Amino acid sequence: MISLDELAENETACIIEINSEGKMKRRLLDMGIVPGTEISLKRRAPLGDPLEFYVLGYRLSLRRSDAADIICERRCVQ
Amino acid sequence: MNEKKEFVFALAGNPNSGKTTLFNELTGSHYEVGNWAGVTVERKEGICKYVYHEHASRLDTHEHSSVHKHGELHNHIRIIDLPGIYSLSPYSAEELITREYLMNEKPDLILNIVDATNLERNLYLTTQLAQMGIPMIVALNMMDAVEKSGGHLDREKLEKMLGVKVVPISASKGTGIQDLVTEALTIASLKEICKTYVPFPNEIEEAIEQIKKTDGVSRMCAVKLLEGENWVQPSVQTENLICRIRENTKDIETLLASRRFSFVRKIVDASLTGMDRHLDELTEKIDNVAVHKFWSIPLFILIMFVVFQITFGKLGSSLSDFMDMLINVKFSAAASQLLELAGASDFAKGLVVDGIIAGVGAVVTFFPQIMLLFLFLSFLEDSGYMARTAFIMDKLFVKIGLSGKSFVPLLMGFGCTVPAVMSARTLDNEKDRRLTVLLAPFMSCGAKMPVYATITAAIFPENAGVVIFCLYFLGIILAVISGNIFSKTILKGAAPPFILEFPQYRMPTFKSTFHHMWDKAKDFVVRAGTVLLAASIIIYFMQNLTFTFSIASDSSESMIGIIGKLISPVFAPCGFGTTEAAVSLLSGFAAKEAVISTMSILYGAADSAGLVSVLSTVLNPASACAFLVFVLLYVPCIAAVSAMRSELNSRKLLLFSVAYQIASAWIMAFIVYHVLSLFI
Ligand SMILES: Nc1nc2c(ncn2[C@@H]2O[C@H](COP(=O)(O)OP(=O)(O)O)[C@@H](O)[C@H]2O)c(=O)[nH]1
Ligand SMILES: [Mg+2]
Repeated sequence: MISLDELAENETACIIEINSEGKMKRRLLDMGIVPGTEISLKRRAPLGDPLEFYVLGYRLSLRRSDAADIICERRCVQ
Repeated sequence: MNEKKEFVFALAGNPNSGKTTLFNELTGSHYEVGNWAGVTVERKEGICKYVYHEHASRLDTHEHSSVHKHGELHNHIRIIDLPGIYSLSPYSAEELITREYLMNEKPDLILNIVDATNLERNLYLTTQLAQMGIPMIVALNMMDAVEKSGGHLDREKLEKMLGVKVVPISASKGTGIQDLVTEALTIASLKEICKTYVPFPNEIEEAIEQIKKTDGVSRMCAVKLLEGENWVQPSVQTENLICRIRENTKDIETLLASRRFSFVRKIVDASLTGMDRHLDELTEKIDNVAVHKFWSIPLFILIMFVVFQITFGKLGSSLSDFMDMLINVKFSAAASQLLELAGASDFAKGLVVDGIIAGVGAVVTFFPQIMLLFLFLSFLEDSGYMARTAFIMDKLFVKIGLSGKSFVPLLMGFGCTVPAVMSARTLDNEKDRRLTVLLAPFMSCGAKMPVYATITAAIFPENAGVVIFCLYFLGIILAVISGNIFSKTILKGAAPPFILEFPQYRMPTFKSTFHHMWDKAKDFVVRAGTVLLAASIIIYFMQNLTFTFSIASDSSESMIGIIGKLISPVFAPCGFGTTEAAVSLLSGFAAKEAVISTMSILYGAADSAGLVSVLSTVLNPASACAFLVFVLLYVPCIAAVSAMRSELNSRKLLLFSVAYQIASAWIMAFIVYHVLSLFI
């Protein structure tokens, strides 16, 4: 189990748990970051932060510190 | 369908789902823009130009003006454009508006627009909207893109599983809209409530039923109460129930969101086939360069350079010169001839020609450039590129309490503060927007360029470029420092969070880009006819009348002259305590270019070469630098201040900004003067 910001570029993982709090958590859930969803890291911004993810067929950008609160598993077990 | 009634349809959907495009298609140009009460979020409302039509399959639009011929068949439909949302749990002030509107004003129908190329996330919102207890229809947008990528949609299956009527449309191509309106009117007049039902675990279902019964709220509202969001004040009984459920269920928010998504996933898997669920290739290709590790920043600089070059370079300035010729030469001459014929007094003639036409004209001249700038920015925004620039710049902006989304508005400040301030509107939270507006004046605007050019030519003919570059740089440095201060004091709060969707790249249609541009630029035109007109008249009067309201024979007797003499001692510590400097700075409130034209009048210089030679005798290097710094930093012109007023939406903050700009200008000029005096 790793956090989302530890993924390598183009690596896919499966979301396990969202440890963010308050509004941030609510928003992440509403954007499709729910346990069991597949997510992959597309790329990092030129300055290293934020990160771009691919989830549910769209691209989502999060800061590293926010991505660190999302726990995932490297290989997806359906 | 015979009863004559006005229907209110509320347009709701995810950001980038095509809401604006559909709104424009439905209403044509018959809409009004206002603000939602209490927040500076645009509220758009318009009359639908489509009417009920039995033979719905035949595309048929009726201009609003012709509908009366259709008699009873006609129903007025008022369309309200709600801010784009991802869910009903508000994240920003904008999103709260959408929920409050739906809960309190109860429109006759929710017109939920769904991006068919991104069904899963869009339908998540649909399941929530459907449970608000308001009749609803789904407009499945972007069907052209779905068909192009080989997708096939089973409309009946989708409707059945979702429990909502679905009409496939393409907002940008204008197809399916008549069907949509006809179906929507049928649903609205029958008051059909959706049958959407997302099943939750038994214990929670029971609690929902209980809450619905005791508190008389919609299912959606009951669910949200269980999720810990108090949309309404729950009764004591309900409060106890909520406590119990939340204790027994671990992480209920995540559980319910997961349930909704798996419900949606089943629907999408069953109804949409053949769609290549991989990333679309065009976007992938563009992004490989546009957000590339090394290329993204040079590419971005290149794009901005081209935009600025076209807007403020040859093309833009020749358009402006053309306007200038039209207004300040041709129109001005015609007006003065006309007044001559009418036998107007010299004063009246002066007021119209040198006051109003010169004053308002000085700004109208910039319209072509402003339109061009907005045209490019609208294009970049509609195409999807803007979201990427926020991504590229975010890390730097976090340091001054902003997010990367403020980058573009601030950049525009180098052109003109007015569009910069106005484009802060696109930012999604109020603190972010206000901070951006407060920092925009630090970006040295284009109108200050003539001032820099004239004074450096007089004092630093050899090093003009270096001095001007230093001024721009000083502005940026002070913006960074001020941003830091503001975000730790008056606009407290963490750096705005950054959860940003990258929309797919789409070629914007000319129509929508043009609409978008006009939406933004319109205010500017309106302002020229109101605020600027008034300001020009006042300044002309003050320049030509004494305090006893007789015509001043000498400019030093005029109100402005006397005021100039009164306030010039204020600038003495900064090294430029002359009446001329004080008066020209005052007239700079109307427009920054006026600083130079006023000086030219006051010093009686025939042309710019004359002014340069006078200035080289009255200013020394230290006082010239101090003056330049003051011009860089002091309050922006009236047009910018009035734009700031409407965007800040707070008199206190506006006054603060004005005071802050004046104080920082004075202090910096003072420091620059005294430090430089030591060395030079
Ligand atoms: N291919 C296609 N593009 C569309 C359609 N409707 C809107 N767009 C494009 O999608 C982008 C976002 O649309 P907009 O109306 O600004 O979305 P909003 O954020 O919901 O207001 C724009 O570039 C539109 O031109 C459509 O039916 N088909
Ligand atoms: Mg829009």
